[in-house]
Amino acid sequence: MLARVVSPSTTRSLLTATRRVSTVTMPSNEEEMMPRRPMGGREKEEMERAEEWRRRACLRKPVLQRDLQVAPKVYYAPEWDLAKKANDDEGWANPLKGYGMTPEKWEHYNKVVWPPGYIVPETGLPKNREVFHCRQSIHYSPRRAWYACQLVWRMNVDEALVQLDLQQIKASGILAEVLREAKKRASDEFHIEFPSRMHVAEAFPVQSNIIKGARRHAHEDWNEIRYRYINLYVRLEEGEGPGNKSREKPKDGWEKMEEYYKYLRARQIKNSIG
Amino acid sequence: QYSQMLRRAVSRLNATLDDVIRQSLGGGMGAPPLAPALASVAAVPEGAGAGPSPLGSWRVTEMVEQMRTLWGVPKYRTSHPKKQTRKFAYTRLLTPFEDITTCEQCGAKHEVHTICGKCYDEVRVLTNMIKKKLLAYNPYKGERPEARPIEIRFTKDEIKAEQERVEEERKGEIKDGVRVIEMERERPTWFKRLEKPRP
Repeated sequence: MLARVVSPSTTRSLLTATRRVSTVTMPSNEEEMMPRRPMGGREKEEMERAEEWRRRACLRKPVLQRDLQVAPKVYYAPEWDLAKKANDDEGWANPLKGYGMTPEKWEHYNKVVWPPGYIVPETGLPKNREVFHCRQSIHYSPRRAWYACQLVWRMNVDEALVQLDLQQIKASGILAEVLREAKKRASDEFHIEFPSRMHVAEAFPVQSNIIKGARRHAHEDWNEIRYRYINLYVRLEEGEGPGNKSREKPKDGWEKMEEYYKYLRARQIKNSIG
Repeated sequence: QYSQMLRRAVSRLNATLDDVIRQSLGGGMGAPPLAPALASVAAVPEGAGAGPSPLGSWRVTEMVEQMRTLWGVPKYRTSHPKKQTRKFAYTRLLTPFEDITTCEQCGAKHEVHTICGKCYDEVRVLTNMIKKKLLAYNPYKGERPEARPIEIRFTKDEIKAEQERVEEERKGEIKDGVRVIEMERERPTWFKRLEKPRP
């Protein structure tokens, strides 16, 4: 008989393993020995959340272009002027050079309107509300700011704020302010009832511009210093995060066990008759 | 046989000359030479052998030995992906704090084994304000701190004390600084009346 150890879920960190519900059907005598009790509210919530993220993770699997089905446009979005450059600069907008996220593009996502109660056909789940927020021209290195963004990525907003307030790097303080602004926007501008029930779906820095300075070394040797400025982009989404920071959910012991059973049962005697 | 004898003599001569050179140029035993390796080769006297000698290989090895301290150098440029994988690997990520509690006084978050930063900040600010007044003397001029007991008073102290006294008296339990507890029965004979109230 398998002794199943159910680890209690912690509210502090989303990175610890959640409870696992097995899809393997158990033999009848085992069922008698271990009767299944009715699931409580919390277990049900976690199962729903795990199922939701399992379905969403399936969307990220690569698909052949010919098998890809483009969804019909059911949302409304204002027109985006492709002939204009991102920074409203003069000149012809080269489509090959206009890549990368800009604050204007990020803000445009906020103007997209979906039908009320829209259910995404690929997952069969209702579409979660999102808030896109950006802060521009922060004097900080993009590579160092990346660490703070990675810390809070896919974390609940309140938990992210607590963690950022305790970290000792400058970017964490700035990112905490940006998240607070985004939360405020969610409640005021987007009329989201419970902004604390959102998670940080995306957080990333993008370099906006560099201001060059000079620095003198020994023997009148002058060198260039780069003062880098970044735009911090943040996307808050309703609901709980997936609980892990990888593309696919990491396998726990039970899933690995099932894989092992599958391997054992798939063994064949090679070059045998029949 | 003659060539062998010559070879041995030359090697002995070179060895002694090398010792002399090393002692003169080096900073001590086992230290790298003060001058670059090539310069030390040029400083070797001509008597050791003019032009490219057939037994010059030992000099090359000596040169290599002297340059050994310069060998900790990258051979190839680190590619951008390799540099990135090193800098942004899982070992360099920021780790979330697992041991966080809420301060009972102010509600701010802090680690379990530390004191609340906000409360400490408040205490620190006030302490510095008090210290500024206490340490307002100049020892270089011969001034000394006052050697008498100190009482620290704040604004509206008296008003607040008066307010508290009025509140307590209104409740009826405290009269003239003494808390009075009324009992609904007669005094038993064994419960004696004390002259001074109990602290």
